[in-house]
Amino acid sequence: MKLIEVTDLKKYFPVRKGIFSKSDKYVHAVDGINFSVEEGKILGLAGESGCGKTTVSKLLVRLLEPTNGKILLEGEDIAHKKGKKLKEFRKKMQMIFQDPYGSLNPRFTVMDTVAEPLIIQGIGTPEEREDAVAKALDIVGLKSPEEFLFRYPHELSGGQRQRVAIARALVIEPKFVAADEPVSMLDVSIRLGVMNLMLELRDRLNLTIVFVTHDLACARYMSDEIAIMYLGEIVEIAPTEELINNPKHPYTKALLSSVPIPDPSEKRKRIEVKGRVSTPIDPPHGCRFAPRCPHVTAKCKKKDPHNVRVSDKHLVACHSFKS
Amino acid sequence: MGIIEIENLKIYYKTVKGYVKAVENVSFNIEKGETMGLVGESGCGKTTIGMSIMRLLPRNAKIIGGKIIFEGEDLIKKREEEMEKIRWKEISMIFQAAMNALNPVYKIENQILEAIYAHENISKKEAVERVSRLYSLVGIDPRRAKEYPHEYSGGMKQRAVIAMALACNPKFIIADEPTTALDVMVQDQIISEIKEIQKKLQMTMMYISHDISVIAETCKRIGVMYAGGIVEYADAIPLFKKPLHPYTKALMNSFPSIKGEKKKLTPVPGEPPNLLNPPSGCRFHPRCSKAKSLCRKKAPKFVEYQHRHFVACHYVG
Ligand SMILES: Nc1ncnc2c1ncn2[C@@H]1O[C@H](COP(=O)(O)OP(=O)(O)OP(=O)(O)O)[C@@H](O)[C@H]1O
Ligand SMILES: Nc1ncnc2c1ncn2[C@@H]1O[C@H](COP(=O)(O)OP(=O)(O)OP(=O)(O)O)[C@@H](O)[C@H]1O
Ligand SMILES: [Mg+2]
Ligand SMILES: [Mg+2]
Repeated sequence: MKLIEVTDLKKYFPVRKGIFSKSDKYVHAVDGINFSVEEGKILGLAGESGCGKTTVSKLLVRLLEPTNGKILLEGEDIAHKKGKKLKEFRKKMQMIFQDPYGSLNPRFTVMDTVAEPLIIQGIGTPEEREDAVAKALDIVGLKSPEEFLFRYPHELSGGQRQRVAIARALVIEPKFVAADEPVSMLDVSIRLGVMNLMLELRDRLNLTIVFVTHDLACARYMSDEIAIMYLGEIVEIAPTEELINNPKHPYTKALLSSVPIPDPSEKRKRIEVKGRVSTPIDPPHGCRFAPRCPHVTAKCKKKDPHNVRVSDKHLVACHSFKS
Repeated sequence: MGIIEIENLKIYYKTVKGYVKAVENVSFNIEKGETMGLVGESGCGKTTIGMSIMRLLPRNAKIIGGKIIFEGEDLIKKREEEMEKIRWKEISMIFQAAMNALNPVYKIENQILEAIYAHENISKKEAVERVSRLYSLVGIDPRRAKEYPHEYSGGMKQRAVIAMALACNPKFIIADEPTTALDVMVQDQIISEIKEIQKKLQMTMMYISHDISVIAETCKRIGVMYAGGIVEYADAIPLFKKPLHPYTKALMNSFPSIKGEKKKLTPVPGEPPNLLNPPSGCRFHPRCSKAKSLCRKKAPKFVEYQHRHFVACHYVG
């Protein structure tokens, strides 16, 4: 069953000129993306800084309202739900933020932080909430919760903070979690522990996860499918091993070729691309990767590429690929 | 004989809670023209070693013992005036998160020129030409030297910082996490440029990173650090083929890769130690699956177990 499905999802931000005046230009942070995630699966969303990963995560859990498009959660469109109706859906979806240092309120104890979603949703009596918090902490591997319940964020290590953030996301037993770079700020020694925890929770609770990362090795480790974003668009999406071993989009190829390999006897062939990611302010027609693409043709600059099917679950948006 | 030889280096930080035993009996050599990688988890003492070679440790740090021999002379014994002639000119460093340390109110060119004038008596024309050459070397258009830091992307700022570290043609350069926090494609470009420059200028380098993949790609010789000590030091290929120390093995098993079979990885169990009160004996023993009672009692010696392959473990193999 498709737990979440988005079609033609867009988010445009007005470009500010001054404090009060908005210009009529827009940043096309997310510009018409489509994907779905089956229940209990993990989709990895990868791409360089500024390509729109955080914006997508916030749209999925409706911390932002899309400019256009549909977001179907268990078949119901939540793209423009408001107020009480939206609050109903908040029980089913949660977000984990990138920065375990900034995302926890420094004046809240672990208990306050993890209980907050329950309080907002008006779930349970104080005793029931305490039980739920203890259970959530136990699930994320903070055994003997009584030791942690009344600590403040500064009394926790980075890995413990991220575990608290995950516990907070899980306490209301959501079906869907958008995890925005949950391990990027963590030291290597704890990164793997948090990733394994998320995989285990997926198995145990049948969670559906969109796992955002800029690290393709982490995306491979975590995901069933991977989507590669470039300037607000998904340029390629495929089952994980298919995408890693058989990439079709020139951007995916370049990105994969720049990932360092933890083996000094392995010689890697780098694919060099010119320039760097820009900001998609009112982008012109044509493929957004065209200015940097080693295989660019005249057509690429004129016409938006549509998705071409490489195989059943492998789609690529590139003019040079013929199925 | 190496260009740099470190012997039994021991550095503590004085804090209100006691001494942080940040570097404990560290010894290694780096040969001329070689790139040595220093890898280990956050807080294990990598930056402290780099800063001690530059003699730029913070005030509360104390070198308790050991030697830092650079071209035959012990840097620890040098007076500050003598160090000023060596620092930046002979030995230079790219600081961790240095791209944020560029002064926002000065043009980048002026910041590099200042570094050159501080050490060399050369004409403005020569110095400006050198900046231009440095810019080409690190892959930025020399015409952009007259811009301010905020006009640069993160990757460009990092390149400018590298150019600055190279300004006085140092013989030895310490690069402390020079690409962390950059996007993969930018990181990859900068790493390949650093490698090329190092080859072209025949520089000796110490490359510090927590990322074992980056170290694997850049360094010929690798030192693995744990809790203030180097637990293993060897050439990159044998180290990866047959790591001898249990921590090295565990560390190598905690990095996912896009190559090879996808497999479940297991993190090093337990928590990193508190260096205010480090574990007795071998500092790794509380997290080591092979630990026996001897490991708790006695710190293992750092020995050359095989040719050019050093390890500190009671039960090697
Ligand atoms: N509230 C906002 N107002 C205006 N522009 C925004 C806003 N939020 C994001 N953007 C712009 O939208 C684009 C996508 O940003 P987003 O934060 O989603 O990228 P990202 O892929 O998460 O990047 P990173 O890897 O750096 O976190 C960027 O160009 C960004 O500057
Ligand atoms: N000025 C200081 N005063 C007290 N303790 C310090 C000081 N600087 C560093 N330390 C401590 O010394 C130890 C080694 O720190 P160092 O900065 O060398 O680690 P590192 O390996 O570079 O870590 P990272 O990968 O996070 O940069 C750490 O436990 C750190 O907390
Ligand atoms: Mg982001
Ligand atoms: Mg450091």
